[in-house]
Amino acid sequence: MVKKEDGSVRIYTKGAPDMLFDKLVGVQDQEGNVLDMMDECTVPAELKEDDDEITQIDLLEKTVKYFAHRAFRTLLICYRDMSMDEYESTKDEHNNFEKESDKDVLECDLVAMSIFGIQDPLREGIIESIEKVRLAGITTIMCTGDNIDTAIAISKNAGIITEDKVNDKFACMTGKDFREEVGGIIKVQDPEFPEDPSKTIDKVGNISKFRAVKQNLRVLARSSPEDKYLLVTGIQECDGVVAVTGDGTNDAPALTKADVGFSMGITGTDVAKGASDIILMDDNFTSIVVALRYGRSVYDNVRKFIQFQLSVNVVAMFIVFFGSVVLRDSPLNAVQMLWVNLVMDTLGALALATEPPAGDILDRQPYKKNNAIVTEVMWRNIFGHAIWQIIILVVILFSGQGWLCENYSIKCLKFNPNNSKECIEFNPFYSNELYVMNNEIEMWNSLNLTADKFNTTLIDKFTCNQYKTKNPMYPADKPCTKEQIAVKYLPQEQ
Amino acid sequence: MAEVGNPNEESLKLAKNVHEHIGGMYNDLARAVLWNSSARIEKNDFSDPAYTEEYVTKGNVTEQGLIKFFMAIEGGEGCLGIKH
Repeated sequence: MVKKEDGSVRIYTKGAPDMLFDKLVGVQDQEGNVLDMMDECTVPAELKEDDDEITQIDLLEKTVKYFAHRAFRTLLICYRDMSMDEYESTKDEHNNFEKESDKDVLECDLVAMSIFGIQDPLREGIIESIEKVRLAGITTIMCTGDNIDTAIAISKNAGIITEDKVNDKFACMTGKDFREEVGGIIKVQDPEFPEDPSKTIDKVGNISKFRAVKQNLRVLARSSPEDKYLLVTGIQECDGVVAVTGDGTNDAPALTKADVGFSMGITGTDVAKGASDIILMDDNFTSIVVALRYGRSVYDNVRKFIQFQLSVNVVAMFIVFFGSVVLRDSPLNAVQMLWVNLVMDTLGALALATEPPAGDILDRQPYKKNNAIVTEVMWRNIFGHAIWQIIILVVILFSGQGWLCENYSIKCLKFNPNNSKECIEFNPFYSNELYVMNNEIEMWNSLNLTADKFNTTLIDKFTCNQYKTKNPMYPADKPCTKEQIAVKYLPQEQ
Repeated sequence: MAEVGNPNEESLKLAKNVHEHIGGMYNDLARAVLWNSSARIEKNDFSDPAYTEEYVTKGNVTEQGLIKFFMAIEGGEGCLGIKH
């Protein structure tokens, strides 16, 4: 509010044009004259369609549309002149304007001064990131406070929606329409506490309608943080996994409710950061793609390790049991078994756990929420690898000394003359595990048990060669493969 | 009604162009925006190397856009002068 020299006051307002149009009574021209909303005016060349002359209100609407279709956010600046007495009496009647909402009464009989078109250009890499996310089986929905035309234009530029899908039912909605369509949020009794009426959970009012909306929804314009929360609640109710980005304090419920909450490190409030799981330090959507790659990679690595461990243990169990029953002696002695366990559980685990994300990790569909960690394909691989190894080990166990290198056998006999089977079985077992670990890289759906390539990086990690130059704890002359040889030739206690 | 392609240079050009054309309305507009925004102008502490200007805008991103329009004409200090 500004006190003018003549004693009157001028109240300035700015806001979304579509919210203020109904409150306008005039438009100020460049000379400062106030024109009526229904006065005719000449259409600027940029806005010209059919008519040469249109009313002032039409001109404002055309201007907003012109900006919105070019992905500009629009703000209307207006004012209202009042006498000091009128202002004071309005103030008295409305709680002395103590709250912001008390001032709403001033927003009427406004005169439009200017429309600002503001464009926040898309960041570099955003289109590629949206496409990568789409190929990874993830649907991006843009929830924004912008008007629907601006939101559609931005989402088209970013690749969230294509031109042919814009007119699909429910593809682009306003927050208000969305709430009305799906029935908003309702509170229902928490099934885990049926006796306690104070325990309630949030549900979508009309979940069947929500499913239909969710199928096509890509742009939610003029949406509030509550709409975001409603969207997250509905997607989770449909057994979907949802990640949400947010920066404002009001986004906190949606960030907390989502399976993964991303807050903005630069523009985000502390409340939003506290409510989120991951803070994007650069406020960049592209970083979500990086998080996605590493998230999938960690899960894959856990699965690889489980598959590897189960393969190793099935084989070890079988060989020890089989040897004990048939030969009345274990083909692997206690020290050898401990060594295998030590190497496989620590270095093997480390090697698999530190595998970088595969190049095609974002080309496949995401796992479902209720997928078992060990899948049918993994069980097939575990038993496939186990049977393959068992066949090799049993063949070597019974006929190895006949056709394996003579020196090998002599050395074994020399150092451990009473139990040559232990030596003859130990190295093939160890080598097989190395081979199996290499195969974990290609484990998902490949039926090729020999794998496409031999992963030297993985074997390097496993044999500590990778640490040669980086870690003084692993000097170059002591890779694990050499230690393996040492264990092999170590005189064994019987 | 020119479009802004790249911020900085083009928006500076646009801001100056608008300033020349709207004449007496300019002061009203500047007050309407600068007195009526939650976004603010601060002296740059140069903690973020991406910002090298003496004054930077903070707060609501849309309002920052509006304020930057006036900063392009008035400079940071000029805008603070109007605001206070």
